[in-house]
Amino acid sequence: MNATFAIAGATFGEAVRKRILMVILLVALLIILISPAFEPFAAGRGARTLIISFGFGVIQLAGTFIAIIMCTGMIPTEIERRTIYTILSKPVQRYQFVLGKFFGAVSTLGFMYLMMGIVFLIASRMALGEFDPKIVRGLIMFFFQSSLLAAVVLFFSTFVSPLVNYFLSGGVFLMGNLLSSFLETIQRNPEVTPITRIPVQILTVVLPNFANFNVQNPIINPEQVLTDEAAYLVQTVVYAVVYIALLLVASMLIFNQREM
Amino acid sequence: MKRNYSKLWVALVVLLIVQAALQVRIFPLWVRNYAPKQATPIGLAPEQLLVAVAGFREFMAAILWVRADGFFDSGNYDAVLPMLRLVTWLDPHNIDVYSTGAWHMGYNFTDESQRSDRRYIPMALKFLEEGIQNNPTVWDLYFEMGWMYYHKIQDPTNAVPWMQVANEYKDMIPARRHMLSHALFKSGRFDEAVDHWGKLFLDAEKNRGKDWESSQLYDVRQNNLEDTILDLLRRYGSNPETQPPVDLQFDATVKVVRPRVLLVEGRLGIPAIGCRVTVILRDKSRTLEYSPKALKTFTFEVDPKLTYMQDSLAVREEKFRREIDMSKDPKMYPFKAEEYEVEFIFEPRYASPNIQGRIGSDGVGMWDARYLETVREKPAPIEVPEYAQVPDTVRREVENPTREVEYKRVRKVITLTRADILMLGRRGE
Repeated sequence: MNATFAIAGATFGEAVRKRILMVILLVALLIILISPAFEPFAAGRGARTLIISFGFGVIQLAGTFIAIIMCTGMIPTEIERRTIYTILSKPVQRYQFVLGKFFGAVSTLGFMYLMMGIVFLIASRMALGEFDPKIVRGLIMFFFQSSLLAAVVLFFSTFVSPLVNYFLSGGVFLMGNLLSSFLETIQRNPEVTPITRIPVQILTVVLPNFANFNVQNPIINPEQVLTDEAAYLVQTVVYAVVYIALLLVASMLIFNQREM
Repeated sequence: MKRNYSKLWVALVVLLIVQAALQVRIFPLWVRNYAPKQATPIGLAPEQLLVAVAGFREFMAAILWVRADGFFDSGNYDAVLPMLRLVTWLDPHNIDVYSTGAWHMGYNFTDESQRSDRRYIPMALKFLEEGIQNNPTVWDLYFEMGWMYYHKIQDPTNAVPWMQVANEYKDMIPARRHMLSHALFKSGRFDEAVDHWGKLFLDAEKNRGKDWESSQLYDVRQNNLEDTILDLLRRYGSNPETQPPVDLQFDATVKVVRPRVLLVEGRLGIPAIGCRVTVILRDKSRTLEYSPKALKTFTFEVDPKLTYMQDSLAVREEKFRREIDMSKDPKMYPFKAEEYEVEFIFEPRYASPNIQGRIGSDGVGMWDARYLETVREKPAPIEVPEYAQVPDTVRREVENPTREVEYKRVRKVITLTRADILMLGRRGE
């Protein structure tokens, strides 16, 4: 376990030194900080919608970019630089290497979300004159979403090149965001035949569902009365953990069999 | 190593099943609480769609809504409609967009004489229905639907069920609860109106003196309860003020003075100020169905061939007269049908209190030898969404209404042809 944490620590250190990730973080922080400037565009309720939705949008986008950019090169770069041989020649199992890399990525995401979250809370407090604790809930869900995406990217990075990984991960993220909406729409339409519906249902269950984590809407529109909200949030977090575990196991299986 | 692999494979399969089971459990809750519930992003440019998908749905909606507000301020009403569609697609939980949008459709499309284009009303009702389906746990849109019937359509009978549903929500603004009593009273359900005022009064009594607002609410409800009971006693008690009935001697005529310009005039024998006669000109045998079910799917297109004009004529010294000019708005009044009906109606449900004091709010104190008719009606059944926070008794009542109401009105219908209205032949057309 020490080896896993050592690798995680090294991964975290390496990630926070990466200029591209820091640039994304700084740009995101800057944009969130200036979001109160939207207030004059719409008074009262409209201003709240603009500022909160914009903040969530920026954080989600930055989280997505950071997860993809950080994780695509994690394993291929180690192989390319041959540093992986040095690591694996020590008493480090391959699964520990994969786990270490993932935990390092999640720590980095956690750090970035913490930074963005603090700035977002300050900005929204400045603009709206109140602190909305529900924002924290949205940030936590986005953190799990990015962590799941990081696991997807890490999984692909065990067997595809970084360039292919960008497209694959981006595609899975997009599909994972849209499938639930698509399924809901075709379920409401009585004219859709089972031949169309069943493959969508299967895909929705099999692919990682990123839409589950998009819980910002009721935070932006506070009139909404939600049913079993706590149960939903808990189940979604458990879903993220289980799916991440699934992807890590799959990554280990592939990485263990990989010739190096 | 082989042993480890088989363990990993087993773990993989187990995790796959567990995540699938979790997703199956999460999906219905997601649909209920978070699903956008709109099908197609028609009208979004690719870059807008990308921004929307990239987590900026609500932000994009808010920006478009601000833009729509700009169009509204500049009087570009037509441009507001597609914006409404986009905004509600991106953020179907923004209640303001549904309520403001429906108000916009129902009230703001007018002709040169500020007569509203009533062909947009079914569209407004459909839009509100969509909002209700997307936001079943919020009271506002049920109320807005009720208000549209109560105020714009002046159909208190169909306003009642929507206001009943809204009234079941605990967070409803207290003053808005009064509207159910008003609607019940106007629709002739006097006993229920008094009961509701009574309940509201008792509710207000609990908080009386707590603060200025609570005391004010108590006073308003007390006054309304007393006034309602007094009105009923005066109008329907022993020795009622509504008897003997007033002979209205109602009559109306139409004259085409220029192509598409009608002179309507007539008589209504009520010796009091404040009466209004409704005049409707429409394609013969075609009425506008004021119901969310009138449109199969939501559309911003009104029937371009349908002519439907409605105006309200003030009665002074028992007479009314108005020149109605429909020549400046050919899109609103296309006159494509061969025959038209001009309908004159006076009904007491929306008359002012001094007039209702004499003839009753259901017309019990009015008489006309030629045009008096009794209308008997029940509210149309409404579809209450599955997740609405409504007790079963109320749900059953509004989904299968049984209470019939009746009121009296005078109504005269005159038939005109297209040639009459356009004065074809007289000017060599």
